[in-house]
Amino acid sequence: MRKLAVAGLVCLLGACALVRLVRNDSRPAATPDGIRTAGSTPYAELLAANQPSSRTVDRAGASGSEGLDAQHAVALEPGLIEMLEAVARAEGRGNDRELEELLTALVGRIDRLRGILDLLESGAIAENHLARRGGVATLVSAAARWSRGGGPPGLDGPAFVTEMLQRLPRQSADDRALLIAFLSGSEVANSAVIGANQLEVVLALCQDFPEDAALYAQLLAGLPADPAALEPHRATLLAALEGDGPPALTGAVLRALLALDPSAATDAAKDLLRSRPDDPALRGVVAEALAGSAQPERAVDALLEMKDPTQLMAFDALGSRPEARAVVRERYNALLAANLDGRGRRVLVAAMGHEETPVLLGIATTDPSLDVRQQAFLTATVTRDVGLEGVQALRDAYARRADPRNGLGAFGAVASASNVLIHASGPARDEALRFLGDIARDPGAALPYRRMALQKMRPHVPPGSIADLTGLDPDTGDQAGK
Amino acid sequence: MKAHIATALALVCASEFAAAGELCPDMRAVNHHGRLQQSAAGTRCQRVLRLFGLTINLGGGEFCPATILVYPAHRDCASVPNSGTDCEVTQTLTITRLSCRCGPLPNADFGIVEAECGCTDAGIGGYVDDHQTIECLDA
Repeated sequence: MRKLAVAGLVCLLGACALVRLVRNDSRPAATPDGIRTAGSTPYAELLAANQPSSRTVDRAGASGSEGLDAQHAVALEPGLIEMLEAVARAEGRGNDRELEELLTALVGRIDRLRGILDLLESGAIAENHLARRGGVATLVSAAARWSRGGGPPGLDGPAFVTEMLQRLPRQSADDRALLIAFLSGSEVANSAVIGANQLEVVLALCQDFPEDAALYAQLLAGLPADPAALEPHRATLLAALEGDGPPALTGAVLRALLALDPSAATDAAKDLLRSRPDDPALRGVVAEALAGSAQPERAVDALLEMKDPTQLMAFDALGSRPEARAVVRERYNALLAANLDGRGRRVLVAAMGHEETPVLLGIATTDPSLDVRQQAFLTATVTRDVGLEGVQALRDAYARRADPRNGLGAFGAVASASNVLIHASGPARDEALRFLGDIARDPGAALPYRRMALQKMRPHVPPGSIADLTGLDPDTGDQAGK
Repeated sequence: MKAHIATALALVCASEFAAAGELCPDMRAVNHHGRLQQSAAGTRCQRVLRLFGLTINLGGGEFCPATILVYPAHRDCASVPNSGTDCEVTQTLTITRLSCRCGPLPNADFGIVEAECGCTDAGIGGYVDDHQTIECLDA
């Protein structure tokens, strides 16, 4: 997607010849007949709607792709392609005044908008990157202009946006990706152009074209967390969650459902995790959605139930919610008091990125589980400058490494000290470097972690200061200091 | 839970555990590919245009996640049955965090310019244990 977007942009730099976008060969196998067209205009009518006196461009041979029969030719308004090229040039020059004049003329006429859709679909301008770019910009501008109501004479604005979405599968893969990238990121007055009123259309696209579902799911990125707007789509959302869509779609749908009905959504998410236990990407998006949007108690329950202390994205989302922090703290204290569920405590500590440093260092020193102590050091050092006190706590814990009750192993020490190099400065950072050097030279530490210590400190110290550690490099095959 | 207990036991006293044939958990380590996870939170690096009297945030820029997690390839012990074997921890691997944001718009005389999403190492946020399969010894 990034490459497609960048390719489209580069074309405008006048270097179109340098970037040969993939031709329409990669269009989806589905035909226009396979598209859900309820409420949209059949393609033949769209063709007829164009001005009969205009010059035509025969799409046969223009793209060589399937789609319309070769007997159909795109009826083209004279000068339309030139207008689209002018849009692209004006946009490229950053000439907003000229751009506004052009776009005002283009988006104010339904025949022109549908003509642009026809033109892009036909493949007739497949090699004209300027016109394609101008066409995409015009369509996105029209969507931004009309998505919330109104429309030029003869056009219901929101209905045209629906039509544009429904016709996405007919576009070349490149234009489709570019349109989606623009539409999914477009906002007017802080409101997404593609909102809840287009939810059904987007979900239908995901269902009808599963091979592109991840792409279409991007259109849902701006769904509002507004229960009133989402309520009419409750059944559709629940049905979408029951499918086996891509993680991006599942995440967007789940976030919407959590805004609409937190209880039902949480239960549905748990069912989803149970039904697809071996899908790490799905687990990641579900955990993140739950952590970020579910009621705090339910979110914590769900994360504890997952028993997966590696879901760091979810823990971030949970910890970033002030209302969830007290819940996390209380659950940790309850489990600690009963000395229960070390894995659960590790999960909770991983979500404590917003706790005060002394709290995290206290857990890192006192929790009976090495895993939890290690996570506490990591959570503290990856989120802030822990200062000299933090580095000293690391040293002290590493010095106790033989004691399973409150020590810290070489891995945790190296990983945490390397975090200090990133997030601290001055004496704390210097002390972390010295500490890493000590571990690298510690013959009692496991070789992988000595090497890790060397790797982390190497960019920050003069080569001469670590000359004695050269033998630790894996390619030497030597184990210096052993 | 069975796997958890067995793993813990294997860590503490692998040889004694393996010698007790009746306690062999009959499971093996399973490969997991390394992967990246993007946060849902983030921004699109994009331009703003004012048209029709409106401020239109004309998207199309690449999505720039706030965070990317880098999970290492590893083998875990997830109760996959395998007669006569157990799995043990060999080393601990890092889960690295990348912090991302849109950079400044590049200077250009013409053409559309777009800020790039750049990511920097934010440190090690967590860890996974790497396992290997070992044979249980007969009692």
